[in-house]
Amino acid sequence: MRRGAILGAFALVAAAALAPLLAHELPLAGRFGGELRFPVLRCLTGEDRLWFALLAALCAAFAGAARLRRRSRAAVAAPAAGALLFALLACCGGGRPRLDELDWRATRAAGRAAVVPTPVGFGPLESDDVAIAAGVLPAPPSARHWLGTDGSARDVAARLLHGMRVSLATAVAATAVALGLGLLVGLACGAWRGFVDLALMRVVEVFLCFPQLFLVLVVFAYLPHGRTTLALLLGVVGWTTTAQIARAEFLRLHGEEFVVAARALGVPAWRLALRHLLPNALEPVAVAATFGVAGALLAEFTLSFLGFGVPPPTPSLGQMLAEGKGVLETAPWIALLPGTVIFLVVVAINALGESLRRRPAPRRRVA
Amino acid sequence: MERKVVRHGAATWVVALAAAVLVSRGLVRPAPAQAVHATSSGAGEDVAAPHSFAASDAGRRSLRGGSSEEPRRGGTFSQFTSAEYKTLNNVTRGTQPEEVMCRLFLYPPLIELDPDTLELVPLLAADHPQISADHLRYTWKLRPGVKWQVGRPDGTPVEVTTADVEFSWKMLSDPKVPALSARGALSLVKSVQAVDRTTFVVEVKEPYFKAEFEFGTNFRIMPEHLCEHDPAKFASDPLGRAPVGYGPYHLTTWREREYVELERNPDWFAADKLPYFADRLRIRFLTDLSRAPDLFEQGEVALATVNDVSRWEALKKDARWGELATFHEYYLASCIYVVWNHAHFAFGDARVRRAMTLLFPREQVRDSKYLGHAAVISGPWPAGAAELDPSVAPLPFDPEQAARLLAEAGFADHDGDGILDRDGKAFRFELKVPATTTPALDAGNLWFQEKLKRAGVEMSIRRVETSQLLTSDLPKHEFEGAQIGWTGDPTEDDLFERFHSQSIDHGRNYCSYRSEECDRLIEAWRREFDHGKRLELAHQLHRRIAEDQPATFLFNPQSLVLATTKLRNVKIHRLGARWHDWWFAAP
Amino acid sequence: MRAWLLRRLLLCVPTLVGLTLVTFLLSRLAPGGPFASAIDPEGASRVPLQEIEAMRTLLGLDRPLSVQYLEWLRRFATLDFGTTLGIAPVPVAARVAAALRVTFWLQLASVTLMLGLGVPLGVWCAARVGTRREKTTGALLFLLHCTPMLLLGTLLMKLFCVGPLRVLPMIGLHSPDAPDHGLAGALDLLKHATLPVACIALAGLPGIARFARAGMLDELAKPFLVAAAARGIPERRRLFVHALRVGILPIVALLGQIVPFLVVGSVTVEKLFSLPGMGQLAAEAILARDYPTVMAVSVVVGVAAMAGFLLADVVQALLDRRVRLA
Repeated sequence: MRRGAILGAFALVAAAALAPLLAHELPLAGRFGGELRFPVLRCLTGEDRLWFALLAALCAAFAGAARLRRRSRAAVAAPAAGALLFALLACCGGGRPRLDELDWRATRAAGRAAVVPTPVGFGPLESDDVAIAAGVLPAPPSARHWLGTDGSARDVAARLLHGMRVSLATAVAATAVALGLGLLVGLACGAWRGFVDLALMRVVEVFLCFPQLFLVLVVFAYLPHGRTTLALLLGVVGWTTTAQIARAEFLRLHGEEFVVAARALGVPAWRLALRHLLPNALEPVAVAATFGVAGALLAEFTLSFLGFGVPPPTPSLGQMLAEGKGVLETAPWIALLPGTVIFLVVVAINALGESLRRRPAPRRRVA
Repeated sequence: MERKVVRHGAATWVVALAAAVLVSRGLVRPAPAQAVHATSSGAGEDVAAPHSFAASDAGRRSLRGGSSEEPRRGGTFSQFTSAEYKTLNNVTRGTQPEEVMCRLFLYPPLIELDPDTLELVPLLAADHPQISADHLRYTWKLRPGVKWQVGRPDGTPVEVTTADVEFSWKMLSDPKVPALSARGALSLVKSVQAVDRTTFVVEVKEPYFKAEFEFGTNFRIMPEHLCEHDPAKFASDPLGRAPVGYGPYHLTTWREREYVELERNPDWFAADKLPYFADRLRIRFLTDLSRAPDLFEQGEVALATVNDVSRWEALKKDARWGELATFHEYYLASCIYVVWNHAHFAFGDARVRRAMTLLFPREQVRDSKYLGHAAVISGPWPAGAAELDPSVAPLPFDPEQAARLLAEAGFADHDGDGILDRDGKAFRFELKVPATTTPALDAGNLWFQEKLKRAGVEMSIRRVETSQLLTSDLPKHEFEGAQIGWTGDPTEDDLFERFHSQSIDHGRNYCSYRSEECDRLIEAWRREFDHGKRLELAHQLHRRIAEDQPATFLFNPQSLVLATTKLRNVKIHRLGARWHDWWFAAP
Repeated sequence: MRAWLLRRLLLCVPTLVGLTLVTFLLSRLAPGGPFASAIDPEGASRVPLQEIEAMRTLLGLDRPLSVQYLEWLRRFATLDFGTTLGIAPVPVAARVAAALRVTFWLQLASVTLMLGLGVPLGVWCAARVGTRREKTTGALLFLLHCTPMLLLGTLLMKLFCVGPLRVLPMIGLHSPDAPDHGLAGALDLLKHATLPVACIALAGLPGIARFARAGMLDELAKPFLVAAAARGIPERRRLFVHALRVGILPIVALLGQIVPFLVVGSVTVEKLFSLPGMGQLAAEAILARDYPTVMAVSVVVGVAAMAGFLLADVVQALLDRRVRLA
């Protein structure tokens, strides 16, 4: 079960990282007038490279774990090779596309180049003139567009892949913010108790009660409309759950013997909190964090529906769902496909969370 | 034991899958096999002729049947509206749905437009007003014998008299009363004074050819014998929730935030001109407009507007819907356009603005997103308006010409980053779009963004809450580009509000457009009382605006309306789906 | 116990004041202002900006914020929520009360359904953990959990209102044709409320079931239950009497969130079914910058939330003596 969960999470990261190789507006490789070029690799953005680096790190971790557990040589070599490959990929990029690469279809038709396009063949931001000329928008799935196009003639498969990446990154960033804030507050409550605990709990309650729509409106009126703002907002909206869980854990731990002993020995509050309480409290918090990612994903959908999600033209799953709801009768695939992807992502994340919960790790660490 | 469990599990999955397939079949209608291709129509074509014939035989049947049958009184006409009425106080009301309710059904104005010929027809007024030679004094006479729905407490009926007129004007102009919309519409009026029981005199501030129309259609009357006389309490008068009028219908029920019901007034004084055959009118508040066709299919409403064009086309092809509804497509006086802030370093130049218009793929959006149900406009008037100069055609989509114009204006890619710049400033701007924008415009803006990128201009799209856009960003000119809609006057729109330099600070001239020639033409137009000469001025204005491109005019979208086949004599008038002469067939 | 309760009640006051202050500040910080409805988005009505400024001055909206807040606080102390801001002032309390009635009963029905179906389902899942049936149910519940409420509502609407089974009305809470009172009126109300209640209940069911299952799983492993089984106590009694008493604790903690949910409602469902509830009222008030209504809604939600937390704490303290120490 746990292995399946970890593999599932790995598959998510892999799909997200490999998105530019699977769907890009430039071809993967091509011979342009005799010159062999790799446009996609040359034009990888900073974000693409970060994902590849992350993937490489994960592969390295797998290789390391396999080595530690003395698995077969193949089980160590395969992830290690993968890590190397992705690390190399992460080093590419930083270039700019050339005009004959941007119009590679025309170049190919004119016979001036032989190209190998990405499997999907379209980028997420590219609107297909052929689909526009054909007249039916959104276009149903066909040989040209495997999952059809959306209302602006952009390929759905490409947008799904890249959208999953964007949504995942936003949700993870939001959860990181929520986690940071929540842990801080929970820690403060647990360590200092008394008045600090009372005051901070009031803050949590205020946060839970006030109309969050106003916060959304105010934030988006003053801050630039981007993914960082969105992640920040989602994090600020969701930190209360983490704070409550962290606080509950810290309060529970206070009754434990090792804490009483530490206090008797005169360990200062901050040291107690950081070195003794935090590692023990991490487990339920980590579980809550994984569910928090799923919650952030669904919250992003609600915000997209209000028009405050990821700004166009960047794709995101929430945005696609919101668009799909309007055309549910005539083009159901636009809503159902992102819905399915959200479902799969949430399954993977939840499985990870569940597996974390059942891990038979030693519950007490009297470091 | 093991095998049984396995079969069980498999059976569950099979059943679930089958159920899912069946459900989806029932719920999802197949998409249209081929889109309807519209032939491109330029602004010169006369598309204003009301187009109202259904695509199906059933529709034609119902329309043919209408002319030979006798009109029949009875039935409940149900419609929906998207926003609940805040108030039906005739003086303080402000939104479009409230205006429709009050002007058509509860408090018909002094003068109204004929739905077909657009001539002014006296309703509450006995006749057209007498106009003084200097066009500053208008003497109106009220029609005698028009009774308020509710009389005095002892039961004696009360007629509409100039006491009501003076009272309403007093309330309207009192600053303590929040009659913002009324004061805005009647800003040209200096005073209103009663002469006798049925005659009153209106003085205007300056001669204006539309003064009779503006005052006649926008003046609002409230019953003096029933209303609160204290200006501070006038707005919260309970008559706002239970209005007392004199129109074809009386309000009987207002279930808050759900529906409103009205009953026919047997003493309706203009039954010869506007018969209103339905006995009851029911208006439901629908917050999710995409459910409109479903509501229609259930039989809950007799008239429904459809916003989604592809859904409309799919319904037209459905044989079942041919039995249920007649399909009507027509143009109203609404336009969508992009205002450019002329204070922006790039948009102050007319060549740059022209390049922007050349780069917006309007024909593409019209053909693939509106499926032909929109007209590309070349000026701030709806398609087919008389003010449009027939010699001016909308600019085509021409990236090469746009590139030339931008180069002429001094823009070039000096630093090689792919974005044009001038004097060191890169050509970047933000387009503000209201949150209530339609999917067709969303796609159009995205394609515009792409075309701009190829031309070297970077545009970012920002969705702004409509309230903020209208009350804050646009009036204070805190924007670079903004996309807005505008419902104009179906008779004649002299553009004073939107393009005269006086309207920059106090009006709707959001682009801060200053042109002496335009100012001169507009002022001359407003003072001209001869129709032919006004049209000549309008054409000149159109040519000037087409040259200057202060804003990029996009579309005049069609209204798509379903009417149930139970109705007879259904025709779409010039002013839209006015149903005063439709009736229900015998069941 | 009484002292603890008193202390908890006293703590609610600063939270309420803090809540109103934060709401007030946020609502004023949001750009734009009331009377935007006077400016028709389509531009048909011509309202000059000075009129709006004059109206703002008339209503005292340009006074310093501290003055306005203190004024509101003073009136709130006498439970006077004022009148709505806009063209047609109506008493806020009446409007909020009407919307609250609708939302409260709808949500109560949904929550009852949610708990009534979810808890037994969760308990059953915990008891049968590991079997195929439990896995299938878990998968289906998960599918339900991942479906956004909007899609769920739309599908339900299509199925029961428009599609082959045309049995239920689509929007609103009352049919104009149906009578108001008596059995027929109640039946009409029931028919209108079925779909929204089902939608909300189905959306929340998986969460409740998961919580119940998690809580029960922790309990079922405990030795005292094994001992009870050895003593011959039947399974149903073991589950619902012995194990549930502690296993229900996570759900009780959830009560703190359910009570405000009873009052806030769901904007999505209300918008979809055109229900005149609190969610819609709040959303419309926020978009129209109707400050008194927003403050009133925020107060109501705050009080409900506080009540919820208090209730959760009290029930938890009653059920689990360990909690009382904290």
